[in-house]
Amino acid sequence: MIKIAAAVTAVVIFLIVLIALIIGKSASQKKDGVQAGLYKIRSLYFYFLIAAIVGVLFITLKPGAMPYTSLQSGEPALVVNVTARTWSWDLSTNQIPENSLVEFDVQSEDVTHGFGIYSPEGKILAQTQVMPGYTNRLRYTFTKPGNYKIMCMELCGVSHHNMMYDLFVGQTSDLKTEASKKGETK
Amino acid sequence: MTNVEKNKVTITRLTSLITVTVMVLFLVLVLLGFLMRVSQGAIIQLPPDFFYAIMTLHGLGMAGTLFVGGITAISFLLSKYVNLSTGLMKLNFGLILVGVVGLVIATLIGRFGAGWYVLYPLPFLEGAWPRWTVVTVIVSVMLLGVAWLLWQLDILRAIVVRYKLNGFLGWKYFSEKPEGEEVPPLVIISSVSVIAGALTTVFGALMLMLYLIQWINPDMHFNALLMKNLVFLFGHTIVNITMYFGLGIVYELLPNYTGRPWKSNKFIAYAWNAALVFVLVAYFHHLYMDFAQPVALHFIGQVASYLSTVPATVVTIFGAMAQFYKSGLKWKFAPLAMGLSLMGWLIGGFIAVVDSTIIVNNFFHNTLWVTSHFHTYYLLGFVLMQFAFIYDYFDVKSEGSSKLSLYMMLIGGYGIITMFAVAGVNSVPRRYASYVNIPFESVVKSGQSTAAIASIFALVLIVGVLLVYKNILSSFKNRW
Repeated sequence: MIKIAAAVTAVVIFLIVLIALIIGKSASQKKDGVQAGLYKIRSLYFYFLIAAIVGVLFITLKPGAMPYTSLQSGEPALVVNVTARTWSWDLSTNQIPENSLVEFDVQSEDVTHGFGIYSPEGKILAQTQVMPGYTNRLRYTFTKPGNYKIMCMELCGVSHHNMMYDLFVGQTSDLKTEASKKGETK
Repeated sequence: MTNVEKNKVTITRLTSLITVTVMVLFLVLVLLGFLMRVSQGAIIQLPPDFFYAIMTLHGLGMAGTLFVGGITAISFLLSKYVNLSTGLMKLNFGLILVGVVGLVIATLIGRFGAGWYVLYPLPFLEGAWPRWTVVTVIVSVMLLGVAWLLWQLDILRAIVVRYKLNGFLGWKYFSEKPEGEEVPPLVIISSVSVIAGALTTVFGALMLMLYLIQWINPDMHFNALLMKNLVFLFGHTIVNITMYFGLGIVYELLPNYTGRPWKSNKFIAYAWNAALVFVLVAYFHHLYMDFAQPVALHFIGQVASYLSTVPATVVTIFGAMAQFYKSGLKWKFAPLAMGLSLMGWLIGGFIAVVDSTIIVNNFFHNTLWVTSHFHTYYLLGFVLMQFAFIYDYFDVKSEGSSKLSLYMMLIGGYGIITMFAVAGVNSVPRRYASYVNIPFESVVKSGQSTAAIASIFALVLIVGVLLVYKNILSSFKNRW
């Protein structure tokens, strides 16, 4: 998704710069009555834009693709209770079975934090805010084993940039039994 | 000298005074930004409490400074059409100065570092910073809010007095044959901006009152989700209408250089009335990652963010293209800066639209991608519009070094935002005082190297800004 978003952005920026250069180059050559031609293109652009917006909204707003649990189907195989406080994480377990739907129920004891899951390669995979007074539920299925990290994604004070935690993802037989006992399995 | 002439002289002097203040503050805040990037690039190492304090001052300061720069420019341009209160303008300037001093003391001396958005309840985190800094920030932002509210209400009053209810938002252009005097686009844009701004400033004031109550009685607590909605309704709108002020400058000044009129019509009226609706609900995109927020509001946030591109591009961008296209204009600093600012606005806007897609925001939220978006908006959009206004206002003649300064700003600015975007794509989180302890070498390297390269671009930008200032100050006497 990140790559698609970056590529689309790069293409659109290229087009914007190209159009700006064409318009800019033409500006110093005076010719009257040329605005009508531009306004004809505007009508076409208007219909194209509306169609593009409707199309992209249709593709991107599919309820199943949303990160919100109220729109998702299926029951999680494991629920991990997460408590955030300045500047540490407390997880009921950090031993996560691969290829299983896991739900992180995140709460804060003090200020708002951000619960961001990073892959072993250092790419952000999913996140939710951790707001005092609320339990935010984030579901994710880890498809590869490895050492994942939790990083804080919301400014929470002077040690915000040091607020991290380990998540181990593997086959059930590889996970530490003691730690996994703390997890609440549905 | 008649009262009207006296009024004109006072507004001109106030515009000069406030504009120079804005220029000084802007430069200082850019230097703070440079310092942050140098530290993130591990060239020097700022203590984290100092980093977050200057980050807070940089954010709050830029949002406030550019808003004041924009509303000052708009007020001067509007004074051609309507009678604004000069007494109120003086009072507002005084309140703003006191507010700025308060913020500087709370951050640089008290090390208050809760970020520009003072996300509840972080300001009240025990032991994070002295208690006095919290009330100093609350009262300072309240003073700024009062000044902005009074200023916006005065603009609205002055416009309604002259253009009446069917004119101030351009509603009369909805009919096939609009009657009465013409309403300049600047007036419609200003009305839309100050209505949105005044309305949301009231919500911001409510939030600050609740902060004050909790400061007085620490046992009281408020709903964090409500507070977050309030702060972004206020903050997002203020930033957004700053951009609208910039567009008002372009609508008003560009025809002077192209020789083509840019008059109100039903398209402009429809577009800016639609913008008024979208600007008030688009802020929901700041809360996509707050899963406790009703899902419907997330959907509204994305739809509104997408739809806001329709009036922006169909009317404003095409209108501007029709201004430039084969107009025979001479590329002086002001029209060049305006053209480039529209390009920056479009690019920054598209980066924002990408991030306003919920399934994309899932990856980009609170990464440096977001930082890339609003720096493009501000630095390569609004600031260029503001400088175009200042050049036009002071009638600056030195065109040779002016263009060089503009190109330096462009190279510096696009370098800075590209580094933010690259880091965002590499999942580098924003608002990190240091990347050293991030447990991924790829993220540390990306964060530090992009910050270090951005520092060089920031230097180029600073030299460009100083050159612009040199030319402006040499023409300062033209308006004093």
